[in-house]
Amino acid sequence: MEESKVSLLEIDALTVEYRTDDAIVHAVNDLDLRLDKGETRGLVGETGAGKTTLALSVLRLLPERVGHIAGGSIRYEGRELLQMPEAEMLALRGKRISMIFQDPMTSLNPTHTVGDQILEVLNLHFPEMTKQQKEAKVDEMMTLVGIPPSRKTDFPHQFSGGMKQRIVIAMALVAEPELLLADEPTTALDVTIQAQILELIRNLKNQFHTAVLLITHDLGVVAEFCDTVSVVYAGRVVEYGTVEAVFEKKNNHPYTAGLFGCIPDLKDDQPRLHPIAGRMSDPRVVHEGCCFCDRCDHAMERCKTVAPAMHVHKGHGIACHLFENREDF
Amino acid sequence: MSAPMVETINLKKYFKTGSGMLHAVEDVNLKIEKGKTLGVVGESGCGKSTLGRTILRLQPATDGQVLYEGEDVLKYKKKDMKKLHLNMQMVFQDPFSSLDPRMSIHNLIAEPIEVCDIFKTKKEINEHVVRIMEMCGLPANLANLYPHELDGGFRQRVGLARAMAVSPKFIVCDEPVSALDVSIQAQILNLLMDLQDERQLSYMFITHDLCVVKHISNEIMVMYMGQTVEYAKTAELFAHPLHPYTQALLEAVPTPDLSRRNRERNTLKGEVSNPINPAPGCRFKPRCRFADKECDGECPLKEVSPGHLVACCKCG
Ligand SMILES: Nc1ncnc2c1ncn2[C@@H]1O[C@H](COP(=O)(O)OP(=O)(O)OP(=O)(O)O)[C@@H](O)[C@H]1O
Ligand SMILES: Nc1ncnc2c1ncn2[C@@H]1O[C@H](COP(=O)(O)OP(=O)(O)OP(=O)(O)O)[C@@H](O)[C@H]1O
Ligand SMILES: [Mg+2]
Ligand SMILES: [Mg+2]
Repeated sequence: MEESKVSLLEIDALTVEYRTDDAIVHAVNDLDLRLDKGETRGLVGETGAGKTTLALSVLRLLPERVGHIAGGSIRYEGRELLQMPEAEMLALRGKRISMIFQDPMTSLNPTHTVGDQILEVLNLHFPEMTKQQKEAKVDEMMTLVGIPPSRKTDFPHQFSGGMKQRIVIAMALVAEPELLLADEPTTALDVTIQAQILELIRNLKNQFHTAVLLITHDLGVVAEFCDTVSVVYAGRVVEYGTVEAVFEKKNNHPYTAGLFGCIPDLKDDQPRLHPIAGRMSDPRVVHEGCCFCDRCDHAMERCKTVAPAMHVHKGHGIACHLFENREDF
Repeated sequence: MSAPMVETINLKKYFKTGSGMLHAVEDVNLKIEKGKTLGVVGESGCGKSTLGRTILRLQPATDGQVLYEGEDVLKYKKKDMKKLHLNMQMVFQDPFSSLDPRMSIHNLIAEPIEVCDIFKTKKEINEHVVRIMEMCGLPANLANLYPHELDGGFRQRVGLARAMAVSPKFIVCDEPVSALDVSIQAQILNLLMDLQDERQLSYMFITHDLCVVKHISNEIMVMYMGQTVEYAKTAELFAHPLHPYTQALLEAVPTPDLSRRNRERNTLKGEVSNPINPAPGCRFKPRCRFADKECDGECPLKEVSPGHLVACCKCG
């Protein structure tokens, strides 16, 4: 990666573990990631790859006692977040960095109306606004996420799964953050509402230069919406680059190639889907060599013992021995 | 011909809310044959989950009938409910909140078996749990873990295992794969289809993913604000989508290649849909580019070609 300029968010060699009663789960291993102002980066990877753990680490919201950052650094505008006093972290969270949680009920209070919960965010971040201005803003946000404002007096349990998620999105966006960590924000939404929400995030980005880390498993969303993409596997970035470079589908990490291969296609009919054979290695076991080698059709003897370095060509990085000494990708 | 596995007749579900009556499900008629899958798609909040829950009597219907092999399950008394649970199950939309966080994986899967009294002894139950876990691709060493220690893929398999545990004939799958990445998604879909072949299961499959629905369904029902707007065989629906909402939906599917980057996006415009005290006439009208006065009148479902129904006075 380009080391010269300071990015908005810089994650280096991040290692995160969950220490449970009977094992240590190595959720994130030696992971690097950069995000610039105004950039939208897709973060894709298998379930259990450590995507949510990564986002929680940035906000320092890992589950207490169990979750530990075992190494590495996370810098925001050049400042180390891992050493920042909790009081300053508190000021960053919500206002400058917003997160859309994967599970909407993490952010919603079941005993408050949805309108009050959006209002709460405004009270916190825009104390200078008048009451009418805030009410008008709540109505505007609800309309933007496709829910009639007249329903602001409803409680979360009166909403569908996707409607709850849209309220959480409204709460995250109304704060006008500099960095948005969006963990599967549109999975519960149909494609027309999804398009509307992604458009909304795009407008936010254009207006406030917001940087977005978009965690998703929908490669279509990445292709249409992101500037750059990082593919994570077993807590490591195995491929990164511009969306153009990665989705050209000429040169990919074997795992990324496998992901492309198992998407059901709207155009042709396959009787059976082709999942990548095997399953992700147990994160409780520390690995030697390449973390993907058990499932890789191209695995060589060396892959079992030597972890591949990140081979970078014109900003497109692939952590695979196949790409060593190659200058053509 | 024998009765379909599951059929609904003019099924309605309304909710009373502070601002009026919310029409979540309006006169839905569907039929699912044995061993077949009906895909249900539609806008977020249009009533898909409510329809599923109402069919399974997880909430009372406002009106209409739900027939299981010809028998109206809405008429079942309390003592018949066990029979309903043995035949009809649901995999819930939300793998986070639908699993009790205080129960181990083993106990979560044993619970429905105990509720339905299928086995007499603890030993039999335990053996069955082991079989079901194996069948759903859950490694045995997860049995003593709790839901929060699992990733989304395994959590969703636990939800599926709970539904499968009592060997039902009909399963409502509410977004069973939307929280999963494409590879695990493919594994679960293959698993569902294998189980269907083996056991002649019928599914009602709710999803936002049109690629998935196309892959798994025999027929598809498209809903908009509580109503069925289009109903057809899968291949027919994708070849000839007629309702303007169905067309908008197909148009909006993101594709995992570079062809559609930076293209003009036509998101649906117009007022947001509000299911509270809806006006008569077409409910899609405020957002429809073809709408005119005619659309204020009734727009019932019409059969425009054999087996292809559409509710739009501008088509067919
Ligand atoms: N509280 C916890 N205790 C123990 N292990 C955990 C905990 N939270 C997560 N893990 C484990 O850490 C690993 C990474 O989980 P994480 O939730 O970050 O994955 P993810 O990439 O977000 O997956 P998904 O796509 O399913 O959301 C998984 O193996 C998961 O089981
Ligand atoms: N318990 C309830 N009380 C009041 N209204 C409810 C209740 N449950 C659902 N609704 C309303 O019924 C409508 C349909 O909700 P439902 O959950 O069935 O939608 P859905 O199609 O499953 O949406 P999604 O795709 O977002 O899950 C929504 O407007 C919702 O707010
Ligand atoms: Mg996650
Ligand atoms: Mg739903």
